[in-house]
Amino acid sequence: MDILQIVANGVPAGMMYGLVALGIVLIHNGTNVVHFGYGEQITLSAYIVIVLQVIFHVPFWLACLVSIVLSALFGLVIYLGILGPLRRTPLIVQVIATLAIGLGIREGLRAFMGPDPWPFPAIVANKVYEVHGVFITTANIVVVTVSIAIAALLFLFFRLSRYGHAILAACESPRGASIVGISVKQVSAVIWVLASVLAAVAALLMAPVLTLSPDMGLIAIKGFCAAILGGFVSLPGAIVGGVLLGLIETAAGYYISTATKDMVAYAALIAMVIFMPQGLLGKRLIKKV
Amino acid sequence: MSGLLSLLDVTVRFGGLVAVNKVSIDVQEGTIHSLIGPNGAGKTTIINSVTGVYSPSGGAIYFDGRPLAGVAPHQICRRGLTRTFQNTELFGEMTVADNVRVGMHGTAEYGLVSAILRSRRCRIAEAKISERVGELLEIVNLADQRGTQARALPLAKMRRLELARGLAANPKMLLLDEPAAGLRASEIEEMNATLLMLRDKLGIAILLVDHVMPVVMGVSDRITVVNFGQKIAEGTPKDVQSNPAVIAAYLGH
Amino acid sequence: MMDRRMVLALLIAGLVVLAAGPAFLSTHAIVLLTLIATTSIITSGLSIVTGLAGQITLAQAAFCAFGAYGATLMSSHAGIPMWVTIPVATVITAFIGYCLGVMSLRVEGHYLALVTLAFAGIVNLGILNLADLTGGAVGHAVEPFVFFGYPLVSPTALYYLSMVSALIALWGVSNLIRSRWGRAFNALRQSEVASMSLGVDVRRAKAVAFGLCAGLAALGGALQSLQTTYLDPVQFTILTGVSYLSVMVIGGLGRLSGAIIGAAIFVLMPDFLGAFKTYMGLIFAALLLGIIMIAPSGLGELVSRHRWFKSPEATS
Repeated sequence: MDILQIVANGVPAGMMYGLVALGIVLIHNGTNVVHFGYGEQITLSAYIVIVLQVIFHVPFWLACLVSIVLSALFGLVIYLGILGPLRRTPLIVQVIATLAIGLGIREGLRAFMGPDPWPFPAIVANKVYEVHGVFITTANIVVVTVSIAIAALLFLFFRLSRYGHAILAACESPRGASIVGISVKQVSAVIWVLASVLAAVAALLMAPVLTLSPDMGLIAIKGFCAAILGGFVSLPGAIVGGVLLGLIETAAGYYISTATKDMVAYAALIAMVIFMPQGLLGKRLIKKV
Repeated sequence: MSGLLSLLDVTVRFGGLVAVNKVSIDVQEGTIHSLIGPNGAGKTTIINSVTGVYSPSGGAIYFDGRPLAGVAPHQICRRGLTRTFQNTELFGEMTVADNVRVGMHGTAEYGLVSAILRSRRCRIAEAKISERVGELLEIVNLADQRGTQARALPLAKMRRLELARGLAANPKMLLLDEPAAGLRASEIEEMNATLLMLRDKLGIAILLVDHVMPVVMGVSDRITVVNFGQKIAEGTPKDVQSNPAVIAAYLGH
Repeated sequence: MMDRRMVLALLIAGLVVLAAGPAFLSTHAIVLLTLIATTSIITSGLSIVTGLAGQITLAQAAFCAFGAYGATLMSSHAGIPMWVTIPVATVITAFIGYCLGVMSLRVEGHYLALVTLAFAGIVNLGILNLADLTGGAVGHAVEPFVFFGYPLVSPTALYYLSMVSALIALWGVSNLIRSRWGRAFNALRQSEVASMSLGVDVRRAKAVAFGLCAGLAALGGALQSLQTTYLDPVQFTILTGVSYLSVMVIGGLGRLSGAIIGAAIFVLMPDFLGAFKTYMGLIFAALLLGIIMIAPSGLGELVSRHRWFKSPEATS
């Protein structure tokens, strides 16, 4: 193993973290809530595919599409039923609410689907290629391409489309946006739907690699670390943070030990918050006295 | 120039914008000094730079002979300068009495361990605190509201509570940020009486920022007028009232 | 309407019942009550740092781990008796909590939740990976508490030890809440700006709150380990910390009664649900969401709103 292999392993892993971070940052910037249950939404999406496929014998590609739609609906329900009404409550209440949603999904899945892992089919059959002594799997390639494609799509959507502008405006200044006729509630709903769709896509990429179990969502912690590394204020930052985390993690795993691999994410988070709370790409946070 | 509070050529810049431009103000001990000006003139910025929220980009601020640069807000309070707030930052969930008690936190006479054990030292200190709360509430005429939750009070009483809270910190000087805003005529008279009493009986200096002229003209020993971040006039209420620059600032533009 | 004398009478009656309890309660009930007592110590820490001071912490279980592992490891490796190592571990953990509080100065809200989450994660991983010291995933036996030559290992003995400790700890917390520190924490949650202008050193107060919370967690965790007699890293995960915070939200964050109610829920729920154990997590999550949507201030607030408990004045 050498630097190139670390990159070959670290970048795809990091892109996955970045995808998760993307959803988290989207929800945070749009509705000021850090969704601690986001990882579980991803898990739920994957389970929906499995249920459709195994129990209802729906073909895989259709199951994926239905999962995306159902996940979007689920996100909408969360916003309309829980986080929307809780908009004006103290932060601690909203944090607990998202934690409770995560807990409910995780334990509900454990109760109804069993605690054991389910095998999840990959979108593209997995093969290993060797390029100049570096091993790359199809999963790696798919993750990187899909992540970049999604990031590009989102970028175009926010920069070029009118509705994208509306969302950005609402995020920056809810009052200003509502004055010019943008419905903040509608924007928030759209953001939740968007993030839930992202979660469903992330599920399709992650479940084959991570093995599907009720606890798969705990990987979202890496997503939070990635979001903090990137600065929590920008979508490109989420991807950059994710890739950086993936690289640092893989390097630590190789050079130090596999045990430290998980610790690295936590340590990186704490270090960033202490030394550079605005993240790598974020603006300097001016904390009011 | 030596007052209790001295601002010497204070300048505050936000990026390219000069919010306060070389303003000098001298507040003498035991006097009421008002700071007035049209909206956006920089009054709140000046107050904020005194209390340490903003650092002046130029000039210096002295309180009681010592520079205030870089001093943390809670230290500024312990030096004898206490500020009240425009949007009444009262501790809404706490009672009137407890609000006032917080003002005495800095001068308290017992530590953490005493608090946890509720030692004799703690109980004696708390009794003294309660007594002083009673005195302060009497001064602002809120004694009958001791146990009321602060956010249940009407506006005028909230302002009086804010004063009592500030007084609890035993200040040499109070910085009052629009204490009369939204008050009715009778309440304004009460506010004037209270402010004069603070100056005359308790010897507390006051730097008062407000728009309500009946208060400003009624209690001030000296008035400084600012506009667009600069001092345009200064003097007694009479001087300021007849000053053409002041009249222009308020009526013009 | 409840007045002072009635409250005092109820309190004394309650104490008598607690003292006499083991005489007529089943062993199972004694064990549960002991668990509630030690858990109350842990949740009372949260009522200070989150309820009063308004700082979110998901790291409570990590501090419990410091207390439990600290006390046992010091005892088994250095031969110091538990009645010394438990207080020592409590104080050391309080200091660690103070340091975490200092870290929290730069961030708040979500960032703070994430930092405490990461801290809890590191501690849990540390326990798992420092297997030589802690026994890793296999766990570590807990040293028995020896009181003047008598090992306190029976359920009744642990019951009294835990009850007395809990009563003392909760009494201390109650004093703190009534003191200038309690007011300072309460104040800084509602307005940091005003608190500072009144002379409260908000930065130091937050750190102190964290320290106290951590110390209480360590004490509770150590006492609890005497009962479980075995340390398993699975007792000290991020999810455990989330659970402590969640039961506090249900019980009522700002009140001491909330800490006890929360502890009772935490302990009794698995017991109560019995056959429905597989659905426990789901039911708990649903309960949590239900309480949040209906009564965000928790059950304690709902109870105290009832006219029986309305008092004419608060501290005054």
